Amino acid sequence: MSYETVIGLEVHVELSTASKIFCSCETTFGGEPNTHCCPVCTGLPGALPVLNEQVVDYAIRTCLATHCAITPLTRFDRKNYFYPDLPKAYQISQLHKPIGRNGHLEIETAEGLKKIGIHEIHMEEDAGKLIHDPWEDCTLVDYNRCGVPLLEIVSEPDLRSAEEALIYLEKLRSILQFLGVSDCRMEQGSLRADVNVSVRPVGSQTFGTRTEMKNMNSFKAIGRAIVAEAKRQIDLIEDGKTIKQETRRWDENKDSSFAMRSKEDAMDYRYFPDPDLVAINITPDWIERVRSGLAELPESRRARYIADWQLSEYEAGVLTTHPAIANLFEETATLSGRPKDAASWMLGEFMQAAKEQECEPQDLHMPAQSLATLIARVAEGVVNRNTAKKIFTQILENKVDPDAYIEQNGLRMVSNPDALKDKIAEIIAANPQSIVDYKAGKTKAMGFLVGQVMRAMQGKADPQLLNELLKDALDRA
Amino acid sequence: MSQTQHPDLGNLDQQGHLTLDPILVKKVARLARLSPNEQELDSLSHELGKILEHFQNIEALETDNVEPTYHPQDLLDSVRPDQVQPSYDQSVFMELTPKHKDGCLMVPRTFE
Ligand SMILES: [Zn+2]
Repeated sequence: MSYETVIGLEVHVELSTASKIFCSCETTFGGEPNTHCCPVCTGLPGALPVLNEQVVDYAIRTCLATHCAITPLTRFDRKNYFYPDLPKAYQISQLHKPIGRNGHLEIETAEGLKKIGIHEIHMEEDAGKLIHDPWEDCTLVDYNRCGVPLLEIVSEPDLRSAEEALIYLEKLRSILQFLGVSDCRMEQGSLRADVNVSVRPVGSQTFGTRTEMKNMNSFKAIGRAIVAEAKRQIDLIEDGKTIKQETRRWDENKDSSFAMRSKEDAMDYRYFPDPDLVAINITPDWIERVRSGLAELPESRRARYIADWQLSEYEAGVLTTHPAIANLFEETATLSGRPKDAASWMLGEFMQAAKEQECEPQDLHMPAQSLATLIARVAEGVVNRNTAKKIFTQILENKVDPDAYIEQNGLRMVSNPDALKDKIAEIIAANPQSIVDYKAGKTKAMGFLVGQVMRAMQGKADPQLLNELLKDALDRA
Repeated sequence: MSQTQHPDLGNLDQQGHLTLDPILVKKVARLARLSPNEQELDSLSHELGKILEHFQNIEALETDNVEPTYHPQDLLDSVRPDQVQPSYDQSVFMELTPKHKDGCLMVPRTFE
């Protein structure tokens, strides 16, 4: 029998507000333990939470971008459970009146566009961090992250493969980044997903029993976990066994998951409206205000790059994977007036550098003005492309100014035919065998000699002129 | 009110009052991290039964056309701007906890 996998994702994303959701403590990642804390976020008796308005703005942005219906009177509920990462013994979350419902995202799959439903979006507070202390065999608690605002974006079970789940996650992440609501740094846990997986025979209309893998923070692990969990469930069915509804933990090192708790022992969260917080009236005016300030989303930017700047579908796609890339590209294209060149530098050297340094693109030092200057100098024939690449690296690593660097290091391209001719004569004289090879029709010899002249001139020769003059000299030799 | 509305809650005692199923009381106690003894369990079954009886009386009211009251006050939109204020000193939280280490609160080993 053949089966299909059914996947639903609950994505938790930390919002990039300056202060926490219900108090004025800072949200900065890390810091000395328990130094971003106050009576509100540590749940001391008598403390009163007050909602951060920016959280609502960010939530509205996200609802608009995912086509969710916005709840006019949205409210907070208490989700009760005992765990040391939660000092109040309840998490302030939304159950009855989440801010958004019934949205969708369109993803591009191999079979074409597919609409993935978004069940709801709600606002909540993050929990603290627990660290196991093996020396004392106890748990250490740091509440710095406690109260950092989160959005939980719950998809419908519309995804049918690990590939689709990853396409959906990448799309959602890029939208959140372009909206400016989260930096989505997975290595810092600012985007995490609970993954629900079930399987059913192809053609079946009912869902199988699902399992949940919580708190996954790498796309790679999510993809592998989905594949492994679907296989585990299919094997159980084929063996005539039943699937238990349970929470499982993915162990990345062992490449498999294990059961954490089953349904019989499931948490009973006893949700009820939080009496400390009042309803938020999201008026049409408020929504319009947010809508009018909404950043341009990747899809629209991509279309614009293709239409206005004649970029290919592929180029435009890569340039819109992250707002830092798109913004730097657009600024450089505008400043230099050479969008094609700007795209080529971004797709080549810039992406390569980001990959090599294993960092987020916004962490690279590359001012648009510097890159635009570099592009202009190549176009003007001040430096050749190879020298420009070296200057690019200098900008990244040592924050140099390209014009100053060119002058200080005498990097101007040599386009003076006499200077080139002298060097060519020198090199030809020193490499008699190459001339014999060239005459024998070995074109490689030409390349070797170009390299020799280039090296003798510290890479500064005008490559086109050098080629012409060298060929000329060889033909006459 | 008749118990048929919530047959899974418990039984009626001789006076006709609802007595909560002890298994249910134990479950609620476990969720609240309480461990009542047999005697306490018995009195809780009666007391919680009475409370639920009261709710059953309320449930009998016709409320189809009444807006639910989530909050006793009509306040709306109590929000603050996104501005950072200084947090408390780490030592404040260390003084509040019986055991601490490296600026962290120390609690019994937690699984999961
Ligand atoms: Zn605080």
